Amino acid sequence: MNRERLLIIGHGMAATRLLQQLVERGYPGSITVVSEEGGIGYNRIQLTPWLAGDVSEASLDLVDDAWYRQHRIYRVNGDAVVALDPAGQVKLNSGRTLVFDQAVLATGALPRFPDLPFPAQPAIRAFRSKADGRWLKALPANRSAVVVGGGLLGLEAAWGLRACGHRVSLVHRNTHLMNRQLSAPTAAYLARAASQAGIALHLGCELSHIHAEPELTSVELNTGDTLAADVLIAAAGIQPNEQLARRAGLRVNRGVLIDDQMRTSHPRLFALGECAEFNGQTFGLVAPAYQQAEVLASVLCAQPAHWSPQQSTTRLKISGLDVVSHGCIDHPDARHLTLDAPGLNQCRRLHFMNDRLIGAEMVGIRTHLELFQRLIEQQTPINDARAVMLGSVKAA
Amino acid sequence: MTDRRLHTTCAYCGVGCGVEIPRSGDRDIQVRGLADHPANQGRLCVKGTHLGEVLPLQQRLLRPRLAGETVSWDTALDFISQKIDGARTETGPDSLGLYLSGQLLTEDYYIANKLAKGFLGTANLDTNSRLCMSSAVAAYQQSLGEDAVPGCYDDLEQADLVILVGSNLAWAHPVLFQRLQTARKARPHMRLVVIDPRATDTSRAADLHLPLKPGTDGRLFNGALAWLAEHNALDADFIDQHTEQFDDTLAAARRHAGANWAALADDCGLALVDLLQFFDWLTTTPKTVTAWSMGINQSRSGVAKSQAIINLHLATGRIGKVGATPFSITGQPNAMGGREVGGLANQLASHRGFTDKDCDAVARFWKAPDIARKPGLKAVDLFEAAARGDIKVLWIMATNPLASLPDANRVREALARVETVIVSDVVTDNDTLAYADVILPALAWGEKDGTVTNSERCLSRQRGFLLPPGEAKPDWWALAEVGKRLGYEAAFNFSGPAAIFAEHAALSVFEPAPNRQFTLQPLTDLSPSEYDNLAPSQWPYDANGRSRARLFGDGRFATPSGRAQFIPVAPAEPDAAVGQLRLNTGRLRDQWHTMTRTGLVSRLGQHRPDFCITLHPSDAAERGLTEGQPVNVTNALGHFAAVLALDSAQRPGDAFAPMHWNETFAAAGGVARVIPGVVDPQSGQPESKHALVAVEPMSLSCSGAYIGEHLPDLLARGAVWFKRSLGEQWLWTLFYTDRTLSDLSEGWQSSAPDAGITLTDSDQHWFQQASLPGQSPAYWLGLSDRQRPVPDTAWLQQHWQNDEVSLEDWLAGKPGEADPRGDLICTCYSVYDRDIESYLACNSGAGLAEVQRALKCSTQCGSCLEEVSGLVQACKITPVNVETA
Repeated sequence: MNRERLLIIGHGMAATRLLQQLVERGYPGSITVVSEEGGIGYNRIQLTPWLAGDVSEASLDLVDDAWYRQHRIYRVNGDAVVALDPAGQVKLNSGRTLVFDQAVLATGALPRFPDLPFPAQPAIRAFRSKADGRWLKALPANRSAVVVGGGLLGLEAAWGLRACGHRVSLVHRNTHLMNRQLSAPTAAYLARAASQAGIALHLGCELSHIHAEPELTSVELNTGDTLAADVLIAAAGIQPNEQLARRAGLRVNRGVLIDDQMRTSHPRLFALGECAEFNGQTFGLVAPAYQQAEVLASVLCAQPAHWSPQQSTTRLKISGLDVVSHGCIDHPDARHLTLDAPGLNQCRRLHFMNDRLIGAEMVGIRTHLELFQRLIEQQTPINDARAVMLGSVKAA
Repeated sequence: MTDRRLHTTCAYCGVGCGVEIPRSGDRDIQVRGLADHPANQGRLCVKGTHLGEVLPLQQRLLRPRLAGETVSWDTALDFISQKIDGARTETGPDSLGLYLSGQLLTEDYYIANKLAKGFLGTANLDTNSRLCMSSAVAAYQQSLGEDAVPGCYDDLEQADLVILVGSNLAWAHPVLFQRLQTARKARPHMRLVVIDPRATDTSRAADLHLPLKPGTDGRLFNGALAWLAEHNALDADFIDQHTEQFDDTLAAARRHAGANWAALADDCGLALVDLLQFFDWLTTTPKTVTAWSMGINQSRSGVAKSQAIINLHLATGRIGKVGATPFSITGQPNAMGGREVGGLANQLASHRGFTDKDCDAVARFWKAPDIARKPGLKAVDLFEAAARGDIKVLWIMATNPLASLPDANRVREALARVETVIVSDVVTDNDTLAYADVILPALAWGEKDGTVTNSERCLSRQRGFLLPPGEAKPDWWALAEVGKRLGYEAAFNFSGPAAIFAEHAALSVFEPAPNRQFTLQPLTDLSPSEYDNLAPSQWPYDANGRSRARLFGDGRFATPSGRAQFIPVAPAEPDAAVGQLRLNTGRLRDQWHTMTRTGLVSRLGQHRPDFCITLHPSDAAERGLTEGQPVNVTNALGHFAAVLALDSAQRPGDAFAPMHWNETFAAAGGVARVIPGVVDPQSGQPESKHALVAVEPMSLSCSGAYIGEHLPDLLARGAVWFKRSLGEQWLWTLFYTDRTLSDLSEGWQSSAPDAGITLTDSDQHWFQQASLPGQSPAYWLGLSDRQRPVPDTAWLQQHWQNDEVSLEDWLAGKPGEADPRGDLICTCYSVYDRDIESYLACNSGAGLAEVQRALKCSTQCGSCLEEVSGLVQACKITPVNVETA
């Protein structure tokens, strides 16, 4: 019997979805997953509600142990691939080697830490894993936490820590929060909500010093302010974890270069998710990773399929506060309509180019989001922008 | 009985319907038609039905004001008396003027007339009845010898042929129209002919509509007389025994009509077959009633046209008989009562003129040696004299001349020129009040107490059932107080309306003239309680005190000779339009006069919400105009603005605009601004139904709507606005010609920091702001340079205090279509709560995992996981009764 051997390196959300898709398609070969973190695939996006106590740890799991057994998926837990030979073999940290016919790189990304000197210690960390969550959940109450980064990750971390009762400061280099997904006036509503939630915002500045010898006590900002810090969460972006591929001689730019079938520069090696780069673009959201997983599963099952990036909706996962953004929200020539309801802390802004909707951003509300998504994706001609804003136009 | 209801008379038109109201003393009442009132027999029109809604003290004048300051009645009355006394001494009695109203009660009118003509010595006392009835009055006086309507409402039901000319009875006198229509159902052979240049609800109900060329009605009636003569359809005996001047009159009619019926039809703009049909019915129907209103009266030849109608009836003996009479239908509730006491400048009192005999008699009765001995200035002349500076003190009561007299800009000059303008009114806001030096708070309908006389000579009590609000007082009281202050204590010492009525009734029988019809003989000795309980009755009365419903049926007329006078007439036609449009004006169904009352009632604004000018589509196309756009209506006198409406039933070349709008309800005023001060030379009645105008597009910079309690100055500046009641709020429709949307929105945003919800547009095509739904005080603003935001006012009114309305619907100003799928739950896979519910309904007992597998919801980012599992739980707790379709 000559079953093809598939090796998946990494076991995050992209890898888990790939496994599910392979199972669904009846992949005939054998599957091995190498997971440095160990355990079963879980939903990283739900870490904040878990930290905040809104959901249980068990509900993060995307599958369960029985599922792996049932589908004969072999897991290598607590070990990491340290060398990859494209010819069909990997070497693990433990010294083991594994052979494969085809391999998928799902190594994800690494948090970007401040470019400042500090001794490594548990109190300076990211918030990307169950381990991070457990450590943070175990903190004594009423600590001072500093979150660096006012994007999705940083905001979610800050909200989660605040929900745990800590004193939270959030430091963001840009002058407004979520600056990639929101324009400044819309982001102001988010800032107000954050302030109302008790998060101290420091916008338009960055860390200039970390006092962490021997233990973290405070950070300094380039404004001269000093913030007390028992915890420092690095959430100012991620960088693709591409080292293994680079050492293996694959073509790598910021991430591992892939084609529209997730194939790297080597025909037997594939990559997907945060570690991959397609047409100069890397992807930090789950939606494209899931779409890649579906296409890649088809390809591995010899069902030809191709992937192209779609505009996806960014949604801030904070209980009780809707923040969504879709499409292009920063075209300098776009016409934008804004609906402000400061008393309700609701704001939405639509962006139009050439009588077509190109972007939508909303804080405090998500009414008509699907209409906006469809109008953006289908590029429906629009003659009454106000009617679109007020939801009185149905998408074709 | 505690539930006894009080009987009174409606405040609006000349039909004079009886109404009953609960005796609660409450201002929140439901008005019902009075079943046993002869005018309406229980019926009411929409305006009357909503009478209760004008009672709340919204925009109500409550205190006297002098030079803008609130003062006591004493101060105001002293001031008025001094001004009158000073002017009388310095510039003579004819530098005084009173301008009254058909809305006044007979008792108020009586005191005003007695004061001016009897004691101030001037007959410069006229009334807005001049704008309404005076041509018919002059015609009756000349033809029949007295201002005495020969017929009664029953005749409209008893006739076999009813001709309505210049009357949109269905809208202006709805109860009479209902009576007519009911009679037509019961007597199907009855025929209705409507002669009106316009197609109206009245003409649409007719057996024959003659949409004649405006102003040719006089010629049509002369033609009818000539036709009847030619076809031997005249009543030669009646003509011979009871009339004079027939031959000259027929000759004049023949000359005017011409000898060629086809040419006559053509000149009148009618099809020959229709003209002949009309003539044929006239020839063969003895029981004919011709009823007319403003379409005849408001003309440069209103008297002559009325006479042409009366001539036709005299020539056929169709007068004062059951179902056969000429019949002018009055506009106002008490136009006739006012004339009974002498409310017109060319009448003295009690249907007497200014002959020495009459003057002496009334002087004796009033003990008024200084009585006026010559007719005074009629309305238009009075204001013209004022504009020339000849009037020093002008007292205006219960009317809004700046909105109702022709050539509003000239009236404005007049009001500005008069040294002391006194206005007695019940509202705080109308066009004329802005020019008043003294403002006196009068009693309104429901508060004032007295009598009125309707179009069929029926005298009814209008009773007060509410306490006077604030310091409001009866008009008669204010006039009598001035009379007393001027030294005529004895002449003006009245205890109340009963005493005034008693004197008026006594004057009606004092030194009677042999043929005079007007008399209140059986009512001269009423006790106060008899006056209080007075039942409706028609004057005159027979020897037994019974009302006479019809006059002159015996062929004896009120002229000195006792014979009716044929009057040879060739009524002049209005100026021809050369390149302009001919503007006709008239009433709407649900509005009254200058809207000071009906304009407050939201429901009455719904029938015709916008101030529209109606054109034929071809006239609009010629001018590049489209329906719904704002236009300027202009001529040399001035201009007003209106919204364009199109109607293919409109005569090409003619336009129509309602008479009601004015500066209180429209920034650029109403039709009065373009109507020339052309009057009938005999009656002095203005030709209000004819103005030559240009209609031009308004070049808009942006437009919009504002709803709130007051229009903020910032929006009012530069706006051509129209205002309409929404109950507690007003809706202003806004048009701007030179203010840009960015100018308005930036100004607004910097001045209104308390923003509920705001819609802004970087391209400045839209700006909206409103209070949050349910928040108070509520307001709603929408502006656009693209399409005018038109909120669904009925929906907004309904939800004005509803905090559950969605922001989108609230700002759109109308209900959105609710998404049938409910609320979006899963943004990743577009799954709605109804999707999940219907899946669970069809798969009862399904768990979260099955739902996720089937619908994919919460399987991507997982943000909606809690909501989805919540729905699954809820469906488990409440088992769904599955009934598969």
